[in-house]
Amino acid sequence: MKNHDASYVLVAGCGRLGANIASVLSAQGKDVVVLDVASTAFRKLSPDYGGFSIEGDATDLATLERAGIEKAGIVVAATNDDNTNVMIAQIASKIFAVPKVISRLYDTEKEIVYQDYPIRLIYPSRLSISEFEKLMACAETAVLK
Amino acid sequence: MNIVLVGGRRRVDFLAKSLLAKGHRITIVHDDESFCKFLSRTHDATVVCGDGSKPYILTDANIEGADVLIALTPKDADNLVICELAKKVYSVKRAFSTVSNPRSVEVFKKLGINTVISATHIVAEIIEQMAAINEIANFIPLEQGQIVLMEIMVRANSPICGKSIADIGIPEQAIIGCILRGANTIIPRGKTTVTAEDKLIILSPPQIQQEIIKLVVGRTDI
Repeated sequence: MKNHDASYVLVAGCGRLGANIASVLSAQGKDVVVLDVASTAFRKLSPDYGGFSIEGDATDLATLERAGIEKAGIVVAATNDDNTNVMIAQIASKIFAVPKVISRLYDTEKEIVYQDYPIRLIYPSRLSISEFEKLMACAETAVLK
Repeated sequence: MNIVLVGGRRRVDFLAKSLLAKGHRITIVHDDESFCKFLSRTHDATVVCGDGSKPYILTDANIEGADVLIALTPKDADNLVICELAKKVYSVKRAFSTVSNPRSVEVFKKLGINTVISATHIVAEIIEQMAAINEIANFIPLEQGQIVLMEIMVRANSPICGKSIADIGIPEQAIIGCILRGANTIIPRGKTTVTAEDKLIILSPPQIQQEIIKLVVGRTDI
């Protein structure tokens, strides 16, 4: 088993979420590799992004190995497809024993496939709902004034 | 048996036909509406239109009562999620999956989906075997390659040609199940003699396959 480097981050999917995470982490001085099936997606990275970008399928073992997943301390599955994120996150967690794996999951019904895995999840729909509730509460207090 | 098929085009069409002919009860899940209409017209099966990797679609397909699930979608990630849902949520006894990327076979197995079929994998294995030895007419790995079925041609120069089965000294783990001689099939006994141009159907674990080829052909390479 190779040593996992906590400052080596692999981001799968270079959409708005993936590109922003990659840019922020790169600005913090971490070693970042971002993967996407389409090279045009890399345009979304900030101009001063200092990490690597690799074009390829992140559910493919060979691509992940090329991106150095064996030494990654953090893997973020941020593609726009739930099932692809499940596969990437499970590969990172189970096959490569990456210590910190974070996955985006749109469909909360699919949460169950992550049971028995130490994977942390980001639920865009739940985040939107809690933000909505906050805004509603603000609106009500504004009306009362 | 109750079988649920998810995704796939020609393959699901073909599988549904052959499974229905054998008397199984079939439910097909597919996300293309016009293809679903075609399937329900052509087959006596329940057809559910939708994304098979979504739990509520699988519930609609009555997956709780299924004995077997077969995932045939073109995306390996979709097949993985379908099989995981089937096993973890609905405790389906057997979940099979085909994969497009041969490297996904290893991934699926490590993630707990053991029944994975990769066409590329199977073809590669067969070609490898047939290319290596001319005498091997057929080669079928069974149970994920735990056991292999070989069809080997006996030439006149073969070391076993003219010997009886008892004298060949076939390894204990292997068995000659059948001898094809012209139009006849012979179930071999100890005193059956092997002659030139016989085809032997041999069942063995892959570990001793080389030993058997050497025994029948006299060499292990061209």
